[in-house]
Amino acid sequence: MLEIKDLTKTYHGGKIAVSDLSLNVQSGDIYGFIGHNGAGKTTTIKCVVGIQKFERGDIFIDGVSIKQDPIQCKSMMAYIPDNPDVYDYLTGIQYLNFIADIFGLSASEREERIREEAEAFEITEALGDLISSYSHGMKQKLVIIGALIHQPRLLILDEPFVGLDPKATLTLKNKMHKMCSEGAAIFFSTHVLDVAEKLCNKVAIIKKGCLIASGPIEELTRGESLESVFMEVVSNAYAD
Amino acid sequence: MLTQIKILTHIGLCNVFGINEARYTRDSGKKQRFVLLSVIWIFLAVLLMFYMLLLSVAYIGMGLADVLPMYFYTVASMVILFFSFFKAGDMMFSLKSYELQASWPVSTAAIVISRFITMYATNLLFSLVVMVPGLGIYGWILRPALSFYIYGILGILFLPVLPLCIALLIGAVITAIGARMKHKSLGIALLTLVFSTAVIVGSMVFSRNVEHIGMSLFEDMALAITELLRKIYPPAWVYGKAVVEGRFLWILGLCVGMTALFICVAGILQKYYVAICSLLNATSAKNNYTLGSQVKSSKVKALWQRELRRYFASSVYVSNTLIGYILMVIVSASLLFFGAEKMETMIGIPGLVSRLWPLFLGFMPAMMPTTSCSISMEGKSLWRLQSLPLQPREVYNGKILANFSLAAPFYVISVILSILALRPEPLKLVFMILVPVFYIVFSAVAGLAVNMALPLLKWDSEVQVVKQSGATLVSMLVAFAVWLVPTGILMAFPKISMELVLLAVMVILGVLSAVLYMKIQGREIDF
Repeated sequence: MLEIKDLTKTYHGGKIAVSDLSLNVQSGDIYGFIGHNGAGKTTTIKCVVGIQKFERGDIFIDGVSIKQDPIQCKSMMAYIPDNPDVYDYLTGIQYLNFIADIFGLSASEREERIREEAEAFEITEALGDLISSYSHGMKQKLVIIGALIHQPRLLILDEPFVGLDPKATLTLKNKMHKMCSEGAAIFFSTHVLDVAEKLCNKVAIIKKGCLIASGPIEELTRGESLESVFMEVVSNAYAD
Repeated sequence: MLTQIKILTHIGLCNVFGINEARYTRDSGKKQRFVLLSVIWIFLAVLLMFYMLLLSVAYIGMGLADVLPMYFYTVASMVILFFSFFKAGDMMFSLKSYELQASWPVSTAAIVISRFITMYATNLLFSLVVMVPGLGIYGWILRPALSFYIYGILGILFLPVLPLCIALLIGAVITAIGARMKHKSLGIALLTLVFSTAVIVGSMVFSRNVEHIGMSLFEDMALAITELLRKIYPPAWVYGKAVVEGRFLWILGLCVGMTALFICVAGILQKYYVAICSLLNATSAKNNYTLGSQVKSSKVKALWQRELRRYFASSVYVSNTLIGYILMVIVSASLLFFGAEKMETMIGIPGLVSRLWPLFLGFMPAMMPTTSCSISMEGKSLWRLQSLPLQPREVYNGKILANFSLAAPFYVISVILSILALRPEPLKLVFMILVPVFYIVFSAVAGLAVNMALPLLKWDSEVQVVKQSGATLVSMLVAFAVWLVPTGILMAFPKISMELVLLAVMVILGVLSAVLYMKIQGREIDF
């Protein structure tokens, strides 16, 4: 579903953010992407969702290159950023309708899905209020609903659990499992190794823009905790 | 408290003109843009200084040398008042800064004073640009005593205080009233526009008074201007007298008076600062929404609606861009009310109505198109558009369309009023209808192109985007240039066919708009 091939991204000023990164996320995968602050997780994700250009390599969504056909790629996926900076001047329902209009959802489809997701995240009553009045967590919930209503086949999340209350966190985890059981794929970054260990079937570890380990979680951990494996792999990589 | 003021002012000044970002960024493109903008600003300052220089020579040549300091003092003060007024409330009561600074152990007075000083610093630069050439020429020709220069510079240092205090007080009152309204931003924008309109009408009345002076005997002109300035702006009169006649106590009184005024205004503002910020900050959430049936819209409509909602949610965006459209209606209504001859004398452009009216009508809405900051206004939420399955051209069309729909009602009213006032013959009627359309289309497309070239996505206050960004400055200059060139040709060559020039204007603007439109269609949303 998502194939990143030799991705290299250099910022203005010459700093290499991501170097020759390759990985493959298949349908049904919940793929965790872990690494220190500034390791290149967000940059990789922004390249995947078409926000940032990259000079080398390619990214394929269900076989379609994001460079060749970004619109087709974007219509298959949804992105939830680490900071839910959305349109403060819209009400929640206006925002969701805007997203639904862009994805061409019919009136009945959007009504049904907004109802379902808004109830699941307990935000229905706030949908008539301006987003500027929302708390960080509520904005995060709204962005998640906006990402789910068009039923993407690939969901990309950047630190999705930051700011969510425990119930919403559980709801999101359940949604992620359900989506994967229906054939979608999920690729998300996190600092919380415990979450990655329990939620993901595969993980990739990135350090200074380079992929240093990846694969099914059982193969990587071999009975140890993900935390100790992560620390070991990262330390060894530093030593190199 | 002095240390607090120093630190806060330093932070505030770092933000002005994007100096700090340009200094530390590794992005060479950003540095280049900063250099380009600095060159433009310096060029404009030099141009203004040159203009003031010529004006000074002309005044001295007419025997009006002694009026010069007080006249320039008035002009600088009025310009500062007018331009500060649009941003004073937003800069002083900036929500984002308030939320950040409210948690720091700094006094409210320090916050208020530091913001005042930040605004003062930029306006002082403007005052120097306006005043120094006049004083220099006066000194060079008339060789006054040393006190002339000392008092002159001392007075300039205090020049921005009064207009800033007035602008801040009015801004505070408008913000306080608007913040209590249901639609705060729109309320503040409308109140700002009402006040601006009053200022414009007031200045038109003032122009008529000046016209009367012009008609009086030449020998009395200096006296008449002095008397008029004494009535409308006494500090300028005091300054002029002090500087020209070397009156120490007068300049001392002026400086002390300004300082006292600043202390009073700072005291008033700090008293109500938290209350006004809290009002602005207060969000009303009903939390009682029930989901009903939803309506599907096309992509174009969804993007257009979003643009308009974004526009009307920002008081500073509305008040600064709508003023051109309102001016368009005001001058057209004035034309109907006063008639062609009086309008020409009032505005001071000979042939304005008979030969230049379609160009004049086109210039006003073109001055500040909404598109010139519509990319920058996306700010941190630009990721949303970038990650949606949208063709860039769909996004850009939404922005241009929003610009057109805002301009349309004002355009229609202005053209109808102008037609009623002038009752033009068929060919002139066609030009009156079409020329403004070409200006509106060109300014919308060019504004967007300029904003794409000079985007400002990291900002703390909308004032930075709408009032201080390079994109708005450049797009205003572009509009000015495309108006000035044909106007200049028609004024310089009275025998040249007006129809020919207007036709050329339409063809050139049409071609330029088409080329720019084609060019921006291919640009991705990657700023």
